[in-house]
This record gives sequence, structure tokens and C-alpha cells, in this order.
Amino acid sequence: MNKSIIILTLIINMVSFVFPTGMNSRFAAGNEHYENGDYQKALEVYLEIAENTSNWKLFYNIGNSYFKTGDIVRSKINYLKAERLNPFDKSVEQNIRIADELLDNRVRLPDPDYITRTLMRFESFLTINTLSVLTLIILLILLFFIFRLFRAGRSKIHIYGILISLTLLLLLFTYHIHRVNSFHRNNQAVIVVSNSQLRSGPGEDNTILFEINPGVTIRIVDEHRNWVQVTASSEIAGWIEIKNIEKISIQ
Amino acid sequence: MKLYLTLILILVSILPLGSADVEFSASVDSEIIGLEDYLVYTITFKGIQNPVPPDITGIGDFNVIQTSRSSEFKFINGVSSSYVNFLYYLTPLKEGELLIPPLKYVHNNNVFKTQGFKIVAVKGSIKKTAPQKRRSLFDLDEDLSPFNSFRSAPQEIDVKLRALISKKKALIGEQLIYRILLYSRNRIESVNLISGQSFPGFWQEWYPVRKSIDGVSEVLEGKNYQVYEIRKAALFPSKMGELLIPSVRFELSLSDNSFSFFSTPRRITRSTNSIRIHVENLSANSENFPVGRLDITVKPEKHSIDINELLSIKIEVKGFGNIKTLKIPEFSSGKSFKVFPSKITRKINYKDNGIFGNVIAEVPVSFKEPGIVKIPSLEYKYYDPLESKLKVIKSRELSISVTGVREEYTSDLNHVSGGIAKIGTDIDFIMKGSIYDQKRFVYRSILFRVILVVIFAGVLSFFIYEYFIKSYILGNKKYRKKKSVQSLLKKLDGLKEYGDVFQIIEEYLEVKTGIRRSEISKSRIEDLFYSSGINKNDTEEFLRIRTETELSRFSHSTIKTISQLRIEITDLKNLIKRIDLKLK
Repeated sequence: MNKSIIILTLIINMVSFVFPTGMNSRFAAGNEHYENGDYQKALEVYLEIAENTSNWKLFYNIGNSYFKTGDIVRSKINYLKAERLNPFDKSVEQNIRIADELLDNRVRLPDPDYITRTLMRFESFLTINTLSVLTLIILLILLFFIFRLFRAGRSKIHIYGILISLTLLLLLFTYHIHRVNSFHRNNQAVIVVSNSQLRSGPGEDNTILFEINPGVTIRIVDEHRNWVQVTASSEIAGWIEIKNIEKISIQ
Repeated sequence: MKLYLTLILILVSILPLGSADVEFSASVDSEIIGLEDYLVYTITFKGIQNPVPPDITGIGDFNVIQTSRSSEFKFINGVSSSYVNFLYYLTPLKEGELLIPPLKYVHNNNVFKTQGFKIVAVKGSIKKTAPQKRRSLFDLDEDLSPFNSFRSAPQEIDVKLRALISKKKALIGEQLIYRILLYSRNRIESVNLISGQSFPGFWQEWYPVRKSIDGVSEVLEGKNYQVYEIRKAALFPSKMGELLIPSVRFELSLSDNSFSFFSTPRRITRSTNSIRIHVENLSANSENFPVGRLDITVKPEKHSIDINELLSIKIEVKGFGNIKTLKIPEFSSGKSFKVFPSKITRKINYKDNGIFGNVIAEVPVSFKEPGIVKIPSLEYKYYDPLESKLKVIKSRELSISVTGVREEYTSDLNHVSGGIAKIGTDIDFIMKGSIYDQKRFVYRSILFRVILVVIFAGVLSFFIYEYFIKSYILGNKKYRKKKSVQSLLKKLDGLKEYGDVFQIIEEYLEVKTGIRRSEISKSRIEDLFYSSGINKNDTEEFLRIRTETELSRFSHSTIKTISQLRIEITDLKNLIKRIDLKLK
């Protein structure tokens, strides 16, 4: 009886960890405001949810709300956040394109090559949570084989079982670490200040190479104090003050 | 034969020495000089290798400003001669007829004597002053000797640094020229800046340091100096009030040393003077505008373009001023065209009278409709410090002929599932349904961690049991013996037939005493119990029960009721507890 209560508590804890209570009702309320044309109110509700939650649908709707209230740059930032959490979603991609069109932005980061794109598609399918559960299952399989080896004695099936599951476990564990790290690494940003200048080095003494408009997506290459080295396209690169950009970070 | 050859070799080697006559002579380059001139007095030794410098203390009417030594080896008509020259650079101390007395020199007990000279010194200078020629500092290939072109070198160190500014009253942003001049009467080999060159309150643009610096002659406080401009910068005051340009320190290497024949560089340090500047703000209507003399031009890449092409328009602002901070005016997108982010390049030229340069913005422009598109002129404002007024200049209006048909923005999206209904200009649909926190990963949940901890604890326990408990505790004899009685008592509690007692007793004895079951007999038990100090009654009672339970397995006459069995077993348990305490 006691054991059942403990397991139930843990499951509830896990569910409430991923699905905080009341979040969906507030999300629905935000959607209602949006559909009634009260975009500002909808935005307020969405932003309140976003203080503790990161979800691609939420960011998508925040982007739409900003779009409706006329802040296209913020709109694009949120679409990019949605894209990070749900890559290759056609709706998100399309809205980014619309925002770029309205921002008159034709500066584009180079498209990823075929291999990178395939890898990205694979990663969007195999989420970090799936990977965590898979790693745990493989760990249990490995332990089962080890236990059998001790109890039932050495046999081919036990030895191969241990070797295969151990290899799989190591691969999955390493890949898990890589995925978590790459999720938290935010090297994408958007220019948010008008007439931001890209310079040849970190510091105002360096030559101005480009003046760049808000809304342009950039990739951060390096950081030095309050300056970041960025690339905006295959031809546009330089150093920019960090206050002129907003990183696409999932807090 | 060998002897002849040796003699010939010795003679050949001795001959040149024998032919080199010893001579000691003196000469002057002029017999009339001005008081501001110098005279080169040369003493030549011929045929003496490595002579001691002659004593010239007798020359009282002249000041020796520099000495030098040279040597040469000549072959004339097959006869070799070695010469060593000592050169003395003398300046007359007074006007009139002066005397350079004859000098004596003793070599191998022979006394040699030079002739004396009468020199007439007149006022001023009668020689063409060498330093009049522009010469190069640091350009050592041209002039290794300090006296070839710069013969007024004094024996004392006389080097000064001066900092100059083009204006002591300036406006914020106005270009000022800051120069550091080196005044020297010595030969300078190198100049190194050893202090900082950052001036608070100024935007600075230092001119590149030249490899070779030309010097000019200048008379300062009655002395003739070579003057070199060693550093130069354009300064742009960035705040108003009294600003101080601090002194700048240099290390100089001098190559001349009048007290040595062999010139060795000597290092000295000198600082410039500090300068105070009064900076005023621009007039209220001119604030935040660039200061200088500037001009703007706007040129399109071409005047006719296809509607689907991008036109590059070059906006250039050029002139004197702080080029690095100049901002280019921007076009705003119009009804018929869109303006994209521009590429900006800056070029600076360092002129004598200040920094001159240009800033070029290449602005890509796209067009929305065909026809003649007018791009309005750009207005540019700057403050001209020479005319002390704000100037407004305008570029010319551009007229671009746009041809072709605009390709509409196309989308590859035809799906509705994603929520986009209208394509191109509006966003009406939102995402619905449930959401969850995507950054809250399962591996961070308590359940996941608990599972991991349980697995870890399980694995650890398993290995502890397998490698420690099993081997060292359960396998231990003492433990097993101790456990045997508990096991026995437990088994007795669960007993249902009297006959089974025998098996349990036998098992107990085997574990407890180590005697194999087949070797257990009445006499063996008696001996064992006796040796363990168990009293006789207990031994007899134990043997009775053993015999009785053994027989009960085969004889129904000994069958007992459950209550009888419990009483018997209780007695037996007490008996075994007493025996177990003493049994070895």
C-alpha cells in the first residue's frame, strides 16, 4: 500500500514537472483574447505563461501577437524561438518569411548543407526526453544481462547482451550530453537596434564595416566582453555590441 | 730544396714590412675659418700599426668637438703602405691668428714631429654649413658617419622635444594637428615612445610613423639644431572646457660620443611639454553635427535597371574631419522603392594639414513598380570651423528608369494544417491545443532521478552481497554455527510430525560440530557432549529424544498428538539452547 502511494506521488511529480497545472487553461484564455482581436491582452497572457514555460506553440502565438501589434522584430524573435523548439515546422518557417518580407530583410544566413539538414531532421524526431527514456531502458537491459551472468553463469547470449547494451548505452549517453549542450547553446540572435554597426573588431575604435537593420538574423561566432563576433550572411560579418542584439535563448 | 723555399717565404713575408717607411704627419682642411665653423685637423701615421693616439693637449686655441679614427692599407706600384688617421674637429675659441703647435710622437725610440699650423679665425661663418642640406634621420645607409653631412655635431648632448598644437582654442569635434618635434645637435639613431599616447578628452588619429624622417635646420637660442617631426596626430576634442594634452616621453639613442673613437649608442630620455587647450561647444543649432569641411555626392551604379534587380547607390561624404565618426545620411524607403542595409567603407589620407578622407555607403535599392523612379536628394549638415557656421549641403535628386515586370513574392506553402491561411501579408491563425514545457526534460524530474538512484543502489547491493557478504560473512564458520541453532529452532517451530525431529537434529549436529552425518552415533555424541562439559542429564535426554524420533519414523506406536508434540518440542528447544551454549 505504502509502495503504491510513493510510486503514484513520483508519477504525479513527474507529470506536474513537465505539465504545470493551470498552464493550458491560461493558454486557452490567451487564444481566446487573440481570436477576439484583443492582441495586446493575448500577448500579456502568453508572456506571463512564457515566464515559466517554453513551448513552440506558445512562442508561435507570441510571435503572432507581436506581429498584430506591429512589432515585427519581436515577432520574428519569437518565431525563431518556436523554430528552435520545433524545427522544420512549415507554419513557423512561413511566418519567419513573412516577417522578413515586412522587415525588407534580404540578408540571409547560409542554408545548412544536406548532411546538417538530415541530422537536424533526425534530432527533431528523437527528442531529448525520448533519448533520456531510451538511455534508461538500455541501462536496465544491461543490468539484466549482468545479473543473469552472475546467477545463471557465463553464456554467449549474456556476453553479447552485455557488450551490445554497454556500447549502446555509451553512445546514447554521449549523444544525450551533446543534445542537452546544443539545446542550451544559443548562437543565434536577431538585431534589435536601428542602424546597428558591424565593426572590424570589438570596440568603437574599429572600422565600421556594415550598418545593419533590425530583424536581421545573425549567428554568434565569438564573444569578447560586451561585443560579439557575428555572421549575417556569407558576405556580411563583423563585431557588434551585445546590446544591439537579442539572443534566441530558451530560458 | 726545402730550406730554399722556407727562406724565400720568410723573405717574401718580411719584404713588405721593410718597404713600409714610418711617417708621422699632420694636415688641416682650411687655414681660414669662421668662429661658427669647425676645422678638421688630421694626423696621419704611416707604417705604424695600431699607434697610440697622439697627445693634443697643446692645442689651446681650439675646442675639440669630436674625434675620429680611420685606417687604410694601400698597394702602390707593388709597395704596400698602412695608414692610420686621427681626425680632430676643432672650433676656434677666439678671433684672430691661432696656432696649432707641432706634435711629437715617439716610435721605436725614434721621435717624429709634425709641422705647426697658423689658422686665421674670423667672425661668423665662412663655410657652407653642412646641416643646411635636408638629411634623413634613421637613414643610416645614406650616412654612416655623422660628419659627412652633419658636421656641426657638438660633443655635449643637446636634444630637446617640443610638442605643438595647431590651435589652442578649438571647438568640440574640430580637427587639431598635434606634432612632436625633436631638436637635436647630436646624431640620433632611433627614437622610441616609452609613455602612453592616450589623451583623455580627445578622439585621436595618429599618423603612421615614417621609416625615414627628414630633418630641417633651425636656429634656436642662437644654436643651430636639426629638427625632426617624430610624431603627428589629428586630435578631435570630445568635450568642452580646459583640456590637457599630457607630456609624452621618448627614449632616444645617440650614436655620437666625443670621448671615444669608436662610436657607441647612448640612450637618453626626453619628454615633451604638456599643452592646455580651451575647447568650446558648438552653437546650439550645430550640436551633434560633424565638424570639418565636407562634401556629399550620391551616384547610382546605373540609371536604368530591371525591376527585379538591386541597384547600388553610392553615397560618399568626403573632406577634412573625423572620418571614423562620420555618419552617412540615409535614404528612406519610398512608395516605389525599398532601401536595404548598406555596406560602409572608410578611407583616411594623412595630409600635412590634417586628416582627409571619405566614407562611402553602398546602398542596395529594389524597386516595386516600373517607370521613372525619383530618389530624393539627401541633405547633409556639418559645422565649418573656418567660416564658423553650420553648412547645409544637398546631393542631387536621382532619376532611375525601372523596366520589366515585378515577380511576385511566391510561397511554397499551400498547407492549412499549420495554421496559415493567408499568405504573404497577414497572420491570422494561432496554435491551439495543450502545451507543455519543452525545456523541462524528463532527465531532470525527481522520478527519473529516483529510478537512477534505485538502480545504482540495487547494483551496489548486488555486488556487495556477491563479493562481500556471501564470501566473508555467510561463508564464515562461526557465523554458520551461530546460525545453525537459530535455523534449528525455526525448523522445529514449523514441525508437524515427530519423526522429522531426527533429521533436523542430525543436520544441526553436522553444522555445529563438523562431523559428517554418517559418522554421528550415540557413543560419538556422548563423547562430544562430555568433552564440551554438558551435564549428564541433558546428554541422556538429548539421546533419548534422538532415539525416540528416529524410531517414530518407522513405528506408528510413537505417534503423538499435536499438543503432545508442541510440549515435546518446547522441551527440546530449551534443551538444545542449553546444549548449544556449551557444545564446541
